[in-house]
Amino acid sequence: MTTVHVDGAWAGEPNYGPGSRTPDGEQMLAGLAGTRKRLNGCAAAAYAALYANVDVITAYPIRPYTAIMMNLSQFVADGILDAEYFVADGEHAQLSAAFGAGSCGARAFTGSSGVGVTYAYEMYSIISGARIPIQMSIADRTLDPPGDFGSEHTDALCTRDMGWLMGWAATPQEVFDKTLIAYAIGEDPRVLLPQMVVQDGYFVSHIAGEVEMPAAGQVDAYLPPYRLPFPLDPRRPVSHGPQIHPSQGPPLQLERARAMEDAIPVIREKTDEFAVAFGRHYPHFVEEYMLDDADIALVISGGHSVTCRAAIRPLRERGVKIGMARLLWIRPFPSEDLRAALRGVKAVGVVETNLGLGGSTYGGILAPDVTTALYYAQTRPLVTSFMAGLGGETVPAAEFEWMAGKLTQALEQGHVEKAAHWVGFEE
Amino acid sequence: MSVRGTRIPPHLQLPIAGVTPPPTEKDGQRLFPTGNFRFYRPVYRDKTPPCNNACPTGEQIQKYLDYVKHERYLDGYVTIMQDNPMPSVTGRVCYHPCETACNRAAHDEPIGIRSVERFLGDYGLALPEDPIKGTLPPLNGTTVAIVGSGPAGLACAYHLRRRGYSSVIFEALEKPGGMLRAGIPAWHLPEQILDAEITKLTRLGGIDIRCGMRAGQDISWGELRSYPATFLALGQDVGRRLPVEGIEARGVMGALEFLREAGLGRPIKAGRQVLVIGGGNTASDAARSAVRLGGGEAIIASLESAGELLIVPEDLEQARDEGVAFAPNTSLVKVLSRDGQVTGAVVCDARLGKDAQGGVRPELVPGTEREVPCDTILIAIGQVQQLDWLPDHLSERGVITADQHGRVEGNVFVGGDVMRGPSMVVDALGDGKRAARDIDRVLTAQALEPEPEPEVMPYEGLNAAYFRHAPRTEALLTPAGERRRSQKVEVTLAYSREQAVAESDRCMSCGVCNGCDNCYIVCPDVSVMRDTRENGHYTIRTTYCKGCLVCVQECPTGCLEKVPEMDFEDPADVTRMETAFAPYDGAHAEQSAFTRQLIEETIAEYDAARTAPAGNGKPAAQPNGDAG
Amino acid sequence: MYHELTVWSRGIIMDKEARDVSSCIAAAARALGYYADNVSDYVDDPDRTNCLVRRYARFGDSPIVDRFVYENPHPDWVVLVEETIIKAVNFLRGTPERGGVVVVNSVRDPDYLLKFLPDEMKAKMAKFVVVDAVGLAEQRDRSPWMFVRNLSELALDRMSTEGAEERLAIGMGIAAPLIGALTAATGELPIDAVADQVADRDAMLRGAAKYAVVDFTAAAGEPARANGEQAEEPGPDGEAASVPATPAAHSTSAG
Repeated sequence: MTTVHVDGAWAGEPNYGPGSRTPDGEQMLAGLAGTRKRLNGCAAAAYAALYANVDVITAYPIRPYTAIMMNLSQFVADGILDAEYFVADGEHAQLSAAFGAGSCGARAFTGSSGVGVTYAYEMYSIISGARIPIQMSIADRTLDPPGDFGSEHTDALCTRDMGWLMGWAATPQEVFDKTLIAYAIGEDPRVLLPQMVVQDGYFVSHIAGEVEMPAAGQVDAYLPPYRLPFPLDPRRPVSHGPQIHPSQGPPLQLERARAMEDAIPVIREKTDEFAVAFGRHYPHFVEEYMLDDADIALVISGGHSVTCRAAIRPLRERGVKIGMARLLWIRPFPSEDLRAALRGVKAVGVVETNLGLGGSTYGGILAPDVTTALYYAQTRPLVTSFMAGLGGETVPAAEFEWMAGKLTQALEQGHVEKAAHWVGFEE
Repeated sequence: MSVRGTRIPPHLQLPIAGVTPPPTEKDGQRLFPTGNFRFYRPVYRDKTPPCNNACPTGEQIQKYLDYVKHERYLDGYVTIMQDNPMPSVTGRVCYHPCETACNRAAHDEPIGIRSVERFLGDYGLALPEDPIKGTLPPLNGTTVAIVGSGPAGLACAYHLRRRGYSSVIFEALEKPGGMLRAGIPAWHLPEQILDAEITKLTRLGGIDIRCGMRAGQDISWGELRSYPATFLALGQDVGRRLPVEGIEARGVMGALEFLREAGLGRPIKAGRQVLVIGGGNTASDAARSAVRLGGGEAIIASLESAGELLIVPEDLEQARDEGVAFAPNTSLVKVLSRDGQVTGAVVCDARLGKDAQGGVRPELVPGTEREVPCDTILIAIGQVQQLDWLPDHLSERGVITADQHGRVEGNVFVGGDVMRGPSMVVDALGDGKRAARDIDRVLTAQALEPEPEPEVMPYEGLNAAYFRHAPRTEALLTPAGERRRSQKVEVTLAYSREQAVAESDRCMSCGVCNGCDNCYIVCPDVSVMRDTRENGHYTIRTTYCKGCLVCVQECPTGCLEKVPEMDFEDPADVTRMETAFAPYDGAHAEQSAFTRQLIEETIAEYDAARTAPAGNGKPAAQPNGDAG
Repeated sequence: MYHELTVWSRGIIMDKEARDVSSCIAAAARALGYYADNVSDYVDDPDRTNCLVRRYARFGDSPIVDRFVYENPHPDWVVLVEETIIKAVNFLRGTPERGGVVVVNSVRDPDYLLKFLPDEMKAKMAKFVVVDAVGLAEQRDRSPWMFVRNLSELALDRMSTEGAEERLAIGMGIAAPLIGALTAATGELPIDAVADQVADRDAMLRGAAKYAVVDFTAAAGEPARANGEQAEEPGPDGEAASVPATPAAHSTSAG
């Protein structure tokens, strides 16, 4: 059992000791160091939480993220991970408990999928406003209706404006890494924000890939024990989230807006630190693929980028000057990095694996953000978007080729046909 | 607009998510054929209830109890009549092997089947018109000879008539009925009931009873054999003689002769001190009749101990109530007489011994002789039949020998007491039924086959939790004092209608579907359908049934069984889906059509409501006359 | 060379068996240097007991472009973990004509099972293989529902069914003989290489040695039938006839 790691005497300054591991955990991680395991995205997230030595896990089952919690429950039951494993009566309670744990100074880990994410909605603003840097691991699932396990980014994107750091991982390895990176960013005293590490249900969560296992010491060095500057602690009582006067509202919200922007340099810093510590280099915000001389480009996030890359290669061989920009973070939205990445590109298509019903493009959620970012570019490219992979449908290489065709056509005609195309339902 | 120019292919159309035909409807089941989950399929397979199995006539007891339960008395009566031509008789005198076998005994007490049978039999006799007559086939011109108009002969004639044969019955006595009249006292079986049952049969047409025709005297073996087929059912009406000193004295009589004289209404007397020798039902009947006739006392002296007596328990108890005394383990040694008239008997202690052939061999205890005063002695130690008119090889020790089918030789069959030795009325009725079936077979050149082995439902096979405990309704008896006053007062009284219904309601319908609806109720998947009543009362929707077997588990009667799905060999009987989620290509389009139809209907209703004038809700169009 | 293996099974109670078959084949192919994917079931609600579920493996000598398709579009290897699936679904959807090797776990006669298949399904089969995997497996429990596993193992396995790491050894129970029969009947992968990936190696080899096969690719008229005796010494030589062609039609490029 355990574990808000509070060392030292009852009186006096709080002293947050370093997280300790169980002997079995030490032994297992020692054996894993330097090996490669075939893990799916869920197992990768669970292993990352194990390496991060989380203190409190709050769970409530919903496919597909369930496998993360099942894996963690096995770690806890087997004595490999010393953590409080808390099964809530619903996602709202799940997030509330994680919030409480984080408020007390515990490194808290939670997660959900689909309607589970939306059921907890009340808590998102509360947690980020209280600046409690818990982590939520989301495996995307289409919101009901219909009953559908398939990945659609709408569940997490619904919460995009709630003050959480939010980014998609495209492979199990990236899920593992991003879990550690996100904790490092969120827990940094300059940031103190909760994080959503999101992976596509099935495409990432349930298809295995190789994952490099680091040494426990590497992780401990990169991600030191969590220390909240203002924990709930009877030795030094503080009050969290009191009622305020309306006049206090604007400055408070301004602080929250600043926190998001202030996170940007820390994200760059922690990503670079990670590359030094683990030898794997990730772009700060935007992965650029064949963009250098590209005339047209697809902006995408999540697992479908794997197929997108595979589709671009033959297109390039056929002479189509196409590239891809993958968003590693969507909150804070990397407007500057995206403008830089797409400099010189003449037509941009945003791949929307989400549903923004009745929005400005009558398509998805991402395009308005991308379009706004590009509006401030020195030369504005044509922008359209593609509704694809909804309900979790696979986006095959052929559909990316079709998108490329639409972008080429827009380039030739000098204007886009419409703001959002429904892939598969148009000529 | 982003949806401009889009087109959804028909096979993928699904206009409103979540609106599909429910699986309770046939359309829904076609769209979600979860029958392919199934390893085992529930199958209704009726077994034989122990009562039906125990009844020699094979009465479908469970079935008519179910009819009575639902107050469908006519159906119940017709059901009995398929197997037993005289339920009013057996309803009174049967020794009810059915009740002895009844599974309900393991639960609380057996069902009072005989009383329900009597209720139905009397219901049938009271009908203004015989419901059986109209169902009979026309006569086929073949006449079968039957010797004896006892239960075996009458049953054979009846079942032959059901198959289109006519019959002629030769009866030795002056009235038909055999042992039913000559052996069973009127206080068990009133004469008018017996007469009514026999009349019911002769009115069917094609059954000709010729009384006063004794086989061997009035009709020869050769004449009998000249018929296309012959059924010998002459019973055993010759009492065994007891070879003791003084037995020829006046006042010593065979119990059978005594009962016959009484049954035929001939003048007969019994003294006030009656000694009955024997330990079976005849001894009991004779003693009880003697008590009624003479108004005195009777003692039944038997070799059998009290526990070995062959008298059915309820008769034993009734006899005691009527003042009949018992002297078990007692043998008659000598009859005492004065002027040729019995004055007493010498008896001694004895035990029932058996010889090598199973015959009775009394073991007397010397030195225990004592005198008993009496004025009448009735001998009831068994009976035989006079069979010397038959070829020697066809009989042995007073019975006619036959093969397992009751076939004597050629087209001659035998049944009842003359084949079995003394036995129950219902055995004779069963023999008659089987003989009629087998005679039909030999006359239509079919092979005789042994009865198929029935699968009898044991109590353990039922789901007993579904049957609340309820006591048996005992039939009321006439008070003993009143019974003693007359030969004609019936001992056992009939069930009222309410009693018959209540008692039938106790039936657990062992192994036979009785339409209790339990499977229909417990099925979590609406796969038990009662709209089509075949194979019992329900059908399983095999396209949808997932094989969870809850129905099998919860079937009270045990008529539902699980059968491995792969044992069903019909290739057409397969619930195959095109993919794991869709039964066939285009399923989505069907759902789409369903939803669109709902929407169109709603729009139509909405439009109809808007065209109606506000307020009174009457149609907008007014008759022309009002317009002017 | 490119193959798609679809393993049909029943939710929860036999999910492990199906996973093991696809895992071992994919792992063996990967170890042999092929591009290989082992894919869980995602569209069949695998948490529903008894419902049809699938596990997939695909492997070949060139990279797999569309890695994210849920269902194998053109399965040429098909395994039925349990015999009633014969009746339950069109398990040869997308299979090329005369291209499918179907392996069924059953004690019944192949012809009895074939009786339930319509002609259009039979036309897609190259070989129909019946192996008594329950009989050949290491018997640890008598339950016919869970084959050789007990309830507590099933409870643990539920987590792996949902996508968590495998708790139990991979390639135990009836999965082993099924893998053996599949490997021997298809002849594409060396039996030893596959056996290396299977926990119960002995049972795998028993399956490879004893199965009945109906060969639809036999030259004329009636399909050739063989049983365990002829299949006693499986190997690439004896199985040449059963190796399905690897036409371009197998390519998953959805162009």
